[in-house]
Amino acid sequence: METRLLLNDLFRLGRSLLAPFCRPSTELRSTIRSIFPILLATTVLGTALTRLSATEYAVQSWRAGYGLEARGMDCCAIGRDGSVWIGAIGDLIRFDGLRFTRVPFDLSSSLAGNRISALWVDGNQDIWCGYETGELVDYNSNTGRARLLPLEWERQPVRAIARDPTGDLWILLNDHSLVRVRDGWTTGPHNIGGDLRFLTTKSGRFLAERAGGVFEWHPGGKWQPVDETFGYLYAVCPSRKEGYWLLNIAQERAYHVGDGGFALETRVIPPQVSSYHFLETLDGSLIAAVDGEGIVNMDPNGSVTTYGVNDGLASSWILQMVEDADGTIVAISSDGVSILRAKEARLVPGLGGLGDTRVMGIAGDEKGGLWIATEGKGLFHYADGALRSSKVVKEPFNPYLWSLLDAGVDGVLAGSWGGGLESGVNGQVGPAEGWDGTQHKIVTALIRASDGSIWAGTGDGIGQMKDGKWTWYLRCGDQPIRDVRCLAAGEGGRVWFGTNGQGAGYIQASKARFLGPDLEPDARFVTAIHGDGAGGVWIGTEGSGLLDWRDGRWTHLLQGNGLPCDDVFHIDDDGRGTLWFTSSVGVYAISKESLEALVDGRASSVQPLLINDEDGLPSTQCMGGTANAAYLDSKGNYYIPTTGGLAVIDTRTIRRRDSRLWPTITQVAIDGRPVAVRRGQPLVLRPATQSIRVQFTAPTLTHPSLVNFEYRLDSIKNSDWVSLGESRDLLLQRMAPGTHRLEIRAGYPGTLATAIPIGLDLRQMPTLFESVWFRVVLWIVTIAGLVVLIWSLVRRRYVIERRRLELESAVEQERRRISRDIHDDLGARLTQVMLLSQVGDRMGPDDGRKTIFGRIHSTAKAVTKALDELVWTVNPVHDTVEDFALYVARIAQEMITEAGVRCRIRIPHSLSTTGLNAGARHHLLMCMKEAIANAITHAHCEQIDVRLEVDDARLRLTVRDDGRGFEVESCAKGSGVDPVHSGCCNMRERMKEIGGTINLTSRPGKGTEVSFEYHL
Amino acid sequence: MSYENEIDKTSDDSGRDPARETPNSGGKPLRIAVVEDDKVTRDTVVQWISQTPGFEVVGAFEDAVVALGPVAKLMPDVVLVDVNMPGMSGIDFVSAVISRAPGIQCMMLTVYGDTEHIFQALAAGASGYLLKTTLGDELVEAIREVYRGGSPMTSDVARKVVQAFHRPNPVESGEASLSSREKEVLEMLAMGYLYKEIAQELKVSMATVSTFVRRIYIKLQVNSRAQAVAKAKIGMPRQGGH
Repeated sequence: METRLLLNDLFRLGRSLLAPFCRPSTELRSTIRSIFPILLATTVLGTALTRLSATEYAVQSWRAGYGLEARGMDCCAIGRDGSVWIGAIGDLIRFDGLRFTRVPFDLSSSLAGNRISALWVDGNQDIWCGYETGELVDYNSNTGRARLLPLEWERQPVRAIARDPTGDLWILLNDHSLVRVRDGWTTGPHNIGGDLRFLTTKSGRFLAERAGGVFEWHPGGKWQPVDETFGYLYAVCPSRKEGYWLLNIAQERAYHVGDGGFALETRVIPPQVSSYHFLETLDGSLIAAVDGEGIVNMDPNGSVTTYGVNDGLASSWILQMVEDADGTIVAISSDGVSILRAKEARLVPGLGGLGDTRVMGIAGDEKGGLWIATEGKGLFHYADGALRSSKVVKEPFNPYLWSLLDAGVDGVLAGSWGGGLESGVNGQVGPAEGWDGTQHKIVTALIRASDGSIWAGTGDGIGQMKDGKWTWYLRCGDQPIRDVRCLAAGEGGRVWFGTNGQGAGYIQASKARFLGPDLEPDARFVTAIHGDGAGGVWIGTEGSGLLDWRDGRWTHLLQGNGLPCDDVFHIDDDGRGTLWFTSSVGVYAISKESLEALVDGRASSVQPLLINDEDGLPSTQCMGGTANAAYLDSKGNYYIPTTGGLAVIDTRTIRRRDSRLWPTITQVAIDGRPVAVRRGQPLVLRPATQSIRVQFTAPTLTHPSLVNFEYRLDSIKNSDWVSLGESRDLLLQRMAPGTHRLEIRAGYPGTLATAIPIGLDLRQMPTLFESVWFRVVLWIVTIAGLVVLIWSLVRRRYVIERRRLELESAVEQERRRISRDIHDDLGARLTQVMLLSQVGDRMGPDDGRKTIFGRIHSTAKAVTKALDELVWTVNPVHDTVEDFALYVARIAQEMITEAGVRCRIRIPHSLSTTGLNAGARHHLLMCMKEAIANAITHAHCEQIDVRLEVDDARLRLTVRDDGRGFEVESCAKGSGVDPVHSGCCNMRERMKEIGGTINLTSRPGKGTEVSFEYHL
Repeated sequence: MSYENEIDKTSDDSGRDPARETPNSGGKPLRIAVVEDDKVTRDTVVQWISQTPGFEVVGAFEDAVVALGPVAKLMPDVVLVDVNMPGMSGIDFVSAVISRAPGIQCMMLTVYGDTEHIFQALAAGASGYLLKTTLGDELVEAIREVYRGGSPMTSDVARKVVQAFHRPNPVESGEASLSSREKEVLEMLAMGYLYKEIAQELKVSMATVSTFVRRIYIKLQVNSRAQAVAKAKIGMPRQGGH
């Protein structure tokens, strides 16, 4: 930096030394003489075209370490979106009007230098940064990508960068060598020599200026000196019209050189302006950076204003200045940044005599002077920069004056707070004649109606003075008129009035009426009233915005419709299509056309032009509540009493500002980690991303603090814009899986609805549980589970039902068997007993009665036996192997013994209590009985052995005789005719039924063995 | 049911009470008491016995509980007890009456082949049993036999006894375990051998077989009592002192 400063100093010293020797030649002088009339004419013309009063600037500065976390600022440039880019040590810095943000380059490892010494901003948001180490970085603010160009020149500081109209990039290196970069390739050298400045004129000429001469680049490939006719130049800057401005310090002249090579305008510049760097401002002034002094503004009128450190400049050594589209100038020095905003409003000079006294009312006199009503100091007159106090000539005089009216030859009328109407003539003041000071003490409004009568609004009614006589309107219907705050003359002799609490009304044809229907109660506190020229009226309120009343229809404007605030203290019409309002946030102007559009329903908002403290208004708090709280004179000067003093705005020269804002995303951080955003590509959020922090801005130097933001996420159905206020920071949490589009728009109040948003696509990847296939699998599993569950339930019910039916069927079968047994066996035998006993009854004692009784006895005995068997089979108590064994043993023994055959029974000594169901018991018993009966009947045996073997799994009952035996094959082929065979088949059937087996072994002469096996 | 086993009326003296060496005819008649809830059966039995010489019915009772006192007082030679009675069962009655009058011989009257009840009654101290269908001469013969100390045992009762002795006995009493000879007799009975066949097989007299059976009865009672003590809570029939 020191080297750079030293070089600059030496260079400037050289220029100043050379200047006297470089005066124009004699020929040149004659040329100048010949063209002098033209020069003079253009000068006069130029002056006439520019504004009459010099632009004043309000300075705002950020010094390194005090609100600016950067140092070593060296260069700056302004982007199309309004961002101010500043090259500093370590970083490229973006300034959005409020904040300085570092732009992180992901190149630090490959970048040798850390100090940016030159900057160039391309139209397409490419910022070219030249480093002290000779490197060149291309940073695209749209994509956030930085690209390091291969270094193909000697390592030395880059001093300037520019792009010519053909698209080639030019780089000036420290040794004054020039490099042309074309599509990444360098060509050259194209040395001109000397410390150059590049400039492109409005017509597209690419120029380079060095001490003493201007060179023009010809696309043919040559730098050619521009014809020199204006002497030794000191500095050059492009003109806003055509050509360029040329500063000749030696001649103390600034020349506007047109494209034809002629001077279109010549200005005299003060001798101290030995500026190396200057520019033509939006209003046509030349503004120059003067080392050690600061910034010198040279008005076309010739007035010169210097802004130094005492005026708020960060430093008096300004290295570079740029001007934005609204005419705001950014000046950087190595240790600070300053903003110079054109003052649209100024304090009226020469009012020191008022001290701290508040100005409550203001009115103009016929000669262009001002009447000033003060709070406590009486009446003043201001003319030609001088303030004169009016002398009190008659008491009682109340110095708390709230309203004013110039009465022409009659002087001035002033309404006081407590003393009624006062009158001033020729610097003398006293109570007005014809006014009843005891009646109407508070006079807050004074106007002159179209018929010349004077109207006075008071705390208790409205008075009209015509021909020196006061007429009073004290009531409106049955309501007394109280606390009138403002009056306005309307069409057809109508006089509008506004009250503090009763709303507004009008007086017409000697009749007062309030405007109806009522709005909300707040809107009844009227502070300003102004006829709209179409039979209606504009009504300003304190806290309830602006209202329009037209034939009983209200239109209500609030902050949401674009008003800077909801207060309207005074309304004035500049006669050029604009209404001016004073408020608690400054003064603002709205075109009547846009207001009409809103009243007609063609628009929903208005775009006011706000003038506040940034524009030089001493205070944003304007005085309000009285009818004369502002005054717009016929020249367009708008006088506004504020809490900071009486200010004036030239309404004719006020700049229209571009209210469009270009929002831009400056940083996106996912879960606290900054990520690069690629335009046109969605930002992919990994599964389970917690938060996305989006930082954005809308760079502007014009009222940056009033910029509001809104956002919306279009993934949300019917998503509406969500206001973020002035916050430039948005935190989104836990996005739903899918693609979202985040849109952000920026604007001043009222312009948001029409603002063009920027978008950011976000794609939240689903977590495992949120993924589609996981849901599909979950659904399938759930449905499958349900199906299985239902199927198993149905099956279970089916099985249970089947078992129940089986059981029922088994029970039924058993019941049928028992019933059959009872019927066939017991029933038949008991019938026999019955028949036999009847027979016996008829017989004589000797007719074989004994035989009959014997038969009865034996039959009854058989019945008992059968019954016993039946009971045994049925009784579930006997469902054990032990009971079965003992029972079959007894039955077998009875049968065999009764038949007179020797009987041998073998049953295990110890029998288990394992269960054996009734069916099995019954069938096994029957089988055994049949086998025994067969043996007894057919075997002609001497002994029958019955053996029972039981182990854990099976039961085996064997009946064996020592009889004659038979061929087994014949039994197997049994036709059922032979009882033996039939019995054999019965036994098989029975065993089959209970799932058992029968085994028959027999050989003729060797006895028979039948064994029944049953699985327990 | 009739006795499958022929009772040897001239068996040896072992186990026989000399005091009961009463001739069948002449002398003091046998004093019989009947406890039977069914009126027809009771009257029939009473009528039959009364008409038989040498027998005297000293009491007939409908209810076991009512009969308990008078029977113990009357001290009949043989009490015929129905197994199934409402209120106090025949088995409980046997148990109770033997504990009061230890000398009384109880014979159970039962319907067809109620082995379980017969076995329980024998275990409770009854000396024999009769089927209600077996009235007539067989009845009086059986009473006489029992009075003389004879012990009828059918195959199925024997099998039941075998099972009883093979049941795990928690209180293994020396007295209650059968001798090898007794076991042999019991098992042969269970296999269906007749008294006569057993006597031939073992080469002893029928009276000796009868004595073995008598001892088996006694040991069964002891065994049952031991089991009852061990399983008092399970509800085995209560045993009287013997």
